[in-house]
Amino acid sequence: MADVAHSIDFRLSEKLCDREYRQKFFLAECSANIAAQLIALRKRRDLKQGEVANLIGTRQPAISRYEQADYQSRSFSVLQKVAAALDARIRVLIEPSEDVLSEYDDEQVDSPEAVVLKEIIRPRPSTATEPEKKQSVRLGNLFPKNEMSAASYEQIAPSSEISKIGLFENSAAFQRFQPESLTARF
Amino acid sequence: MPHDVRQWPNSVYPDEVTAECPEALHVIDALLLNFTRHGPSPDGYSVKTLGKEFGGLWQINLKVQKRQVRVLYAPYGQQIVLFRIHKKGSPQEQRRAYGLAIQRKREFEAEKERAEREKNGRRRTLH
Repeated sequence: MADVAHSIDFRLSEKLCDREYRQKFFLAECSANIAAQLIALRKRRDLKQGEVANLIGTRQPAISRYEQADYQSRSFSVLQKVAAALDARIRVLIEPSEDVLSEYDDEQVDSPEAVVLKEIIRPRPSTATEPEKKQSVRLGNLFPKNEMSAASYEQIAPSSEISKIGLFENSAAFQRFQPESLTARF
Repeated sequence: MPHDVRQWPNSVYPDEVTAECPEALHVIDALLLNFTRHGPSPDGYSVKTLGKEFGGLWQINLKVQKRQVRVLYAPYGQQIVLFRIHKKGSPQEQRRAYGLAIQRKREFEAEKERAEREKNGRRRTLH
Protein backbone atom coordinates (compact mmCIF):
# COMPACT_ATOMS: atom_id res chain seq x y z
CA MET A 1 0.00 0.00 0.00
CA ALA A 2 1.30 3.45 -0.87
CA ASP A 3 2.00 5.52 2.26
CA VAL A 4 0.34 8.82 1.48
CA ALA A 5 -1.18 9.54 4.89
CA HIS A 6 0.85 11.72 7.21
CA SER A 7 2.47 10.16 10.23
CA ILE A 8 1.50 11.35 13.69
CA ASP A 9 3.97 12.66 16.17
CA PHE A 10 2.52 11.83 19.59
CA ARG A 11 5.50 13.31 21.44
CA LEU A 12 4.21 11.21 24.29
CA SER A 13 7.48 10.97 26.18
CA GLU A 14 7.86 14.75 25.89
CA LYS A 15 4.31 15.40 27.09
CA LEU A 16 4.69 12.91 29.92
CA CYS A 17 7.37 15.13 31.44
CA ASP A 18 4.55 17.43 32.46
CA ARG A 19 3.19 16.11 35.75
CA GLU A 20 -0.36 17.37 35.23
CA TYR A 21 -0.60 15.86 31.76
CA ARG A 22 0.87 12.53 32.81
CA GLN A 23 -1.51 12.13 35.74
CA LYS A 24 -4.47 12.69 33.43
CA PHE A 25 -3.01 10.42 30.76
CA PHE A 26 -2.27 7.59 33.22
CA LEU A 27 -5.85 7.82 34.48
CA ALA A 28 -7.23 7.73 30.93
CA GLU A 29 -5.04 4.78 30.03
CA CYS A 30 -5.93 2.95 33.24
CA SER A 31 -9.67 3.53 32.66
CA ALA A 32 -9.40 2.13 29.15
CA ASN A 33 -7.50 -0.91 30.46
CA ILE A 34 -10.06 -1.61 33.18
CA ALA A 35 -12.91 -1.35 30.68
CA ALA A 36 -11.20 -3.72 28.24
CA GLN A 37 -10.50 -6.23 31.03
CA LEU A 38 -14.06 -6.14 32.34
CA ILE A 39 -15.48 -6.70 28.85
CA ALA A 40 -13.09 -9.56 28.12
CA LEU A 41 -13.83 -11.29 31.41
CA ARG A 42 -17.62 -10.87 31.14
CA LYS A 43 -17.50 -12.36 27.64
CA ARG A 44 -15.33 -15.19 28.89
CA ARG A 45 -17.95 -15.95 31.56
CA ASP A 46 -20.59 -15.77 28.82
CA LEU A 47 -22.62 -13.20 30.73
CA LYS A 48 -24.62 -10.20 29.59
CA GLN A 49 -24.26 -6.79 31.24
CA GLY A 50 -27.76 -7.20 32.74
CA GLU A 51 -26.82 -10.54 34.27
CA VAL A 52 -23.72 -9.09 35.92
CA ALA A 53 -25.87 -6.21 37.16
CA ASN A 54 -28.33 -8.69 38.73
CA LEU A 55 -25.48 -10.54 40.42
CA ILE A 56 -24.29 -7.40 42.22
CA GLY A 57 -27.69 -5.82 42.74
CA THR A 58 -27.44 -2.95 40.33
CA ARG A 59 -28.80 -2.08 36.88
CA GLN A 60 -27.41 -2.77 33.41
CA PRO A 61 -26.50 0.88 32.59
CA ALA A 62 -24.15 0.91 35.59
CA ILE A 63 -22.25 -2.06 34.20
CA SER A 64 -22.26 -0.49 30.74
CA ARG A 65 -20.72 2.63 32.25
CA TYR A 66 -18.04 0.57 34.00
CA GLU A 67 -17.17 -0.97 30.65
CA GLN A 68 -16.61 2.38 28.96
CA ALA A 69 -13.01 3.36 28.34
CA ASP A 70 -13.64 7.05 29.01
CA TYR A 71 -15.44 6.53 32.34
CA GLN A 72 -13.11 7.68 35.10
CA SER A 73 -15.24 7.60 38.23
CA ARG A 74 -15.23 3.91 39.14
CA SER A 75 -15.40 3.11 42.81
CA PHE A 76 -13.13 0.42 44.16
CA SER A 77 -15.90 -1.22 46.16
CA VAL A 78 -18.11 -1.60 43.07
CA LEU A 79 -15.13 -2.92 41.10
CA GLN A 80 -14.59 -5.49 43.84
CA LYS A 81 -18.24 -6.56 43.59
CA VAL A 82 -17.99 -6.87 39.80
CA ALA A 83 -14.77 -8.85 40.11
CA ALA A 84 -16.38 -11.14 42.68
CA ALA A 85 -19.43 -11.63 40.45
CA LEU A 86 -17.10 -12.54 37.59
CA ASP A 87 -15.07 -14.78 39.90
CA ALA A 88 -11.84 -12.83 39.46
CA ARG A 89 -9.21 -11.14 41.54
CA ILE A 90 -8.23 -7.49 41.35
CA ARG A 91 -4.54 -6.82 41.23
CA VAL A 92 -3.46 -3.24 41.84
CA LEU A 93 -0.03 -2.12 40.77
CA ILE A 94 1.06 1.35 41.78
CA GLU A 95 4.22 2.27 39.93
CA PRO A 96 6.35 5.42 40.32
CA SER A 97 6.19 7.42 37.10
CA GLU A 98 10.00 7.44 36.71
CA ASP A 99 9.92 3.65 36.45
CA VAL A 100 7.35 3.54 33.67
CA LEU A 101 8.07 6.57 31.48
CA SER A 102 10.53 4.63 29.33
CA GLU A 103 7.64 2.38 28.26
CA TYR A 104 6.30 5.28 26.20
CA ASP A 105 9.56 6.23 24.47
CA ASP A 106 9.16 6.50 20.69
CA GLU A 107 5.79 4.78 20.93
CA GLN A 108 4.76 5.45 17.34
CA VAL A 109 8.13 5.82 15.66
CA ASP A 110 8.98 2.13 15.71
CA SER A 111 7.76 -0.32 13.14
CA PRO A 112 5.06 -2.71 14.42
CA GLU A 113 7.63 -5.51 14.59
CA ALA A 114 10.01 -3.37 16.61
CA VAL A 115 7.23 -2.56 19.08
CA VAL A 116 6.59 -6.27 19.67
CA LEU A 117 10.29 -7.04 19.99
CA LYS A 118 10.84 -4.12 22.34
CA GLU A 119 8.01 -5.34 24.57
CA ILE A 120 9.58 -8.81 24.74
CA ILE A 121 13.12 -7.70 25.53
CA ARG A 122 12.25 -4.70 27.72
CA PRO A 123 14.15 -5.05 31.03
CA ARG A 124 11.75 -5.06 33.95
CA PRO A 125 12.42 -4.37 37.58
CA SER A 126 12.42 -7.66 39.44
CA THR A 127 8.97 -8.30 40.83
CA ALA A 128 9.71 -11.89 41.72
CA THR A 129 8.94 -12.81 45.28
CA GLU A 130 11.51 -14.77 47.31
CA PRO A 131 9.74 -18.12 46.71
CA GLU A 132 9.61 -17.39 42.94
CA LYS A 133 13.34 -16.59 42.88
CA LYS A 134 14.11 -19.79 44.77
CA GLN A 135 11.93 -21.71 42.32
CA SER A 136 13.85 -20.15 39.42
CA VAL A 137 17.18 -21.18 40.93
CA ARG A 138 15.86 -24.65 41.58
CA LEU A 139 14.86 -24.96 37.91
CA GLY A 140 18.41 -23.99 36.98
CA ASN A 141 19.74 -26.81 39.14
CA LEU A 142 17.36 -29.26 37.54
CA PHE A 143 18.76 -28.59 34.09
CA PRO A 144 22.55 -28.47 34.47
CA LYS A 145 23.06 -28.50 30.68
CA ASN A 146 22.17 -24.81 30.56
CA GLU A 147 25.05 -22.66 29.41
CA MET A 148 23.79 -19.83 31.61
CA SER A 149 22.94 -20.12 35.22
CA ALA A 150 19.50 -19.29 36.53
CA ALA A 151 21.01 -16.20 38.15
CA SER A 152 22.21 -14.94 34.75
CA TYR A 153 18.73 -15.34 33.35
CA GLU A 154 17.39 -13.40 36.29
CA GLN A 155 19.78 -10.54 35.46
CA ILE A 156 18.65 -10.34 31.82
CA ALA A 157 14.93 -10.67 32.31
CA PRO A 158 14.00 -11.16 35.92
CA SER A 159 11.07 -13.52 36.37
CA SER A 160 9.90 -12.85 32.80
CA GLU A 161 8.69 -15.34 30.24
CA ILE A 162 12.10 -15.21 28.53
CA SER A 163 13.88 -16.58 31.58
CA LYS A 164 11.42 -19.45 31.79
CA ILE A 165 11.72 -20.21 28.07
CA GLY A 166 15.49 -19.95 28.28
CA LEU A 167 15.67 -22.43 31.10
CA PHE A 168 13.63 -24.98 29.27
CA GLU A 169 14.97 -24.55 25.74
CA ASN A 170 18.35 -26.01 26.47
CA SER A 171 17.08 -28.65 28.82
CA ALA A 172 17.19 -32.33 28.04
CA ALA A 173 13.44 -32.52 28.63
CA PHE A 174 12.82 -29.87 25.98
CA GLN A 175 15.12 -31.57 23.46
CA ARG A 176 13.33 -34.90 23.96
CA PHE A 177 10.02 -33.37 22.85
CA GLN A 178 11.41 -31.76 19.70
CA PRO A 179 10.33 -33.66 16.57
CA GLU A 180 13.33 -34.56 14.40
CA SER A 181 11.93 -32.66 11.42
CA LEU A 182 11.85 -29.41 13.36
CA THR A 183 15.40 -29.56 14.65
CA ALA A 184 17.67 -27.26 12.69
CA ARG A 185 21.00 -28.74 11.64
CA PHE A 186 24.00 -26.57 10.87
CA MET B 1 -1.32 -6.88 16.02
CA PRO B 2 0.15 -3.35 16.16
CA HIS B 3 -1.36 -0.76 13.85
CA ASP B 4 0.01 2.39 12.32
CA VAL B 5 -1.99 5.52 13.20
CA ARG B 6 -1.82 8.30 10.63
CA GLN B 7 -3.72 11.41 9.63
CA TRP B 8 -5.10 13.23 6.62
CA PRO B 9 -4.46 16.12 6.28
CA ASN B 10 -1.42 16.95 8.37
CA SER B 11 -3.40 19.28 10.66
CA VAL B 12 -5.72 16.86 12.48
CA TYR B 13 -3.36 15.95 15.31
CA PRO B 14 -2.25 17.81 17.33
CA ASP B 15 -3.25 21.12 15.68
CA GLU B 16 -7.03 20.71 15.53
CA VAL B 17 -7.13 18.91 18.87
CA THR B 18 -5.21 21.59 20.72
CA ALA B 19 -7.24 24.31 18.99
CA GLU B 20 -10.69 22.81 19.53
CA CYS B 21 -10.55 20.49 22.52
CA PRO B 22 -7.26 20.82 24.41
CA GLU B 23 -8.88 19.43 27.58
CA ALA B 24 -9.32 16.10 25.77
CA LEU B 25 -5.71 15.70 24.65
CA HIS B 26 -4.81 13.05 27.26
CA VAL B 27 -7.93 10.98 26.50
CA ILE B 28 -7.25 11.19 22.76
CA ASP B 29 -3.63 10.18 23.33
CA ALA B 30 -4.81 7.15 25.30
CA LEU B 31 -7.20 6.28 22.45
CA LEU B 32 -4.48 6.62 19.79
CA LEU B 33 -2.20 4.41 21.87
CA ASN B 34 -5.00 1.86 22.03
CA PHE B 35 -5.41 2.14 18.25
CA THR B 36 -1.74 1.30 17.75
CA ARG B 37 -1.94 -1.63 20.16
CA HIS B 38 -5.39 -3.09 19.49
CA GLY B 39 -6.52 -1.81 16.10
CA PRO B 40 -9.44 0.36 14.96
CA SER B 41 -12.00 -1.12 17.34
CA PRO B 42 -10.43 -1.31 20.81
CA ASP B 43 -12.59 -2.78 23.58
CA GLY B 44 -14.28 -0.25 25.82
CA TYR B 45 -14.73 2.43 23.18
CA SER B 46 -18.11 2.83 21.52
CA VAL B 47 -17.09 2.44 17.90
CA LYS B 48 -19.70 3.17 15.24
CA THR B 49 -19.29 2.47 11.56
CA LEU B 50 -21.29 5.21 9.90
CA GLY B 51 -22.14 3.48 6.63
CA LYS B 52 -22.24 4.60 3.03
CA GLU B 53 -24.13 7.81 3.69
CA PHE B 54 -21.13 9.07 5.67
CA GLY B 55 -18.56 7.75 3.24
CA GLY B 56 -17.70 4.68 5.33
CA LEU B 57 -16.29 6.70 8.23
CA TRP B 58 -15.79 5.18 11.66
CA GLN B 59 -16.64 7.17 14.76
CA ILE B 60 -15.73 7.13 18.43
CA ASN B 61 -17.36 9.48 20.93
CA LEU B 62 -15.39 10.29 24.05
CA LYS B 63 -16.80 12.01 27.10
CA VAL B 64 -14.35 14.47 28.62
CA GLN B 65 -15.41 16.85 31.37
CA LYS B 66 -19.08 16.38 30.51
CA ARG B 67 -18.49 17.32 26.87
CA GLN B 68 -18.43 14.93 23.93
CA VAL B 69 -15.42 14.75 21.67
CA ARG B 70 -15.81 12.97 18.37
CA VAL B 71 -13.07 11.14 16.50
CA LEU B 72 -13.71 10.38 12.83
CA TYR B 73 -11.37 7.93 11.13
CA ALA B 74 -11.15 4.91 8.87
CA PRO B 75 -9.01 1.77 8.85
CA TYR B 76 -7.03 0.71 5.78
CA GLY B 77 -5.47 -2.67 6.50
CA GLN B 78 -2.90 -2.16 9.26
CA GLN B 79 -3.23 1.59 8.93
CA ILE B 80 -5.74 3.81 10.76
CA VAL B 81 -6.22 7.27 9.28
CA LEU B 82 -7.68 10.12 11.36
CA PHE B 83 -9.76 12.64 9.42
CA ARG B 84 -11.32 14.87 12.04
CA ILE B 85 -11.35 15.29 15.81
CA HIS B 86 -13.80 17.84 17.16
CA LYS B 87 -15.96 18.80 20.07
CA LYS B 88 -19.58 17.85 19.55
CA GLY B 89 -21.58 21.03 19.09
CA SER B 90 -24.86 22.09 17.50
CA PRO B 91 -26.44 19.90 14.77
CA GLN B 92 -25.17 22.36 12.14
CA GLU B 93 -21.61 22.11 13.48
CA GLN B 94 -21.85 18.34 13.55
CA ARG B 95 -23.04 18.27 9.94
CA ARG B 96 -20.16 20.49 8.96
CA ALA B 97 -17.69 18.23 10.77
CA TYR B 98 -19.07 15.12 9.06
CA GLY B 99 -18.96 16.90 5.69
CA LEU B 100 -15.34 17.90 6.22
CA ALA B 101 -14.33 14.39 7.34
CA ILE B 102 -16.06 12.80 4.31
CA GLN B 103 -14.36 15.27 1.98
CA ARG B 104 -10.96 14.57 3.56
CA LYS B 105 -11.52 10.83 3.32
CA ARG B 106 -12.32 11.14 -0.39
CA GLU B 107 -9.25 13.30 -0.97
CA PHE B 108 -7.10 10.80 0.87
CA GLU B 109 -8.47 7.83 -1.05
CA ALA B 110 -8.02 9.63 -4.38
CA GLU B 111 -4.44 10.48 -3.43
CA LYS B 112 -3.78 6.92 -2.30
CA GLU B 113 -5.17 5.54 -5.55
CA ARG B 114 -3.06 7.96 -7.57
CA ALA B 115 0.08 7.00 -5.62
CA GLU B 116 -0.65 3.30 -6.07
CA ARG B 117 -1.24 3.75 -9.82
CA GLU B 118 2.02 5.63 -10.08
CA LYS B 119 3.83 2.92 -8.12
CA ASN B 120 2.37 0.16 -10.28
CA GLY B 121 3.14 2.09 -13.47
CA ARG B 122 6.74 2.51 -12.40
CA ARG B 123 6.98 -1.18 -11.61
CA ARG B 124 5.60 -2.05 -15.06
CA THR B 125 8.14 0.20 -16.83
CA LEU B 126 10.96 -1.38 -14.85
CA HIS B 127 9.97 -4.83 -16.15
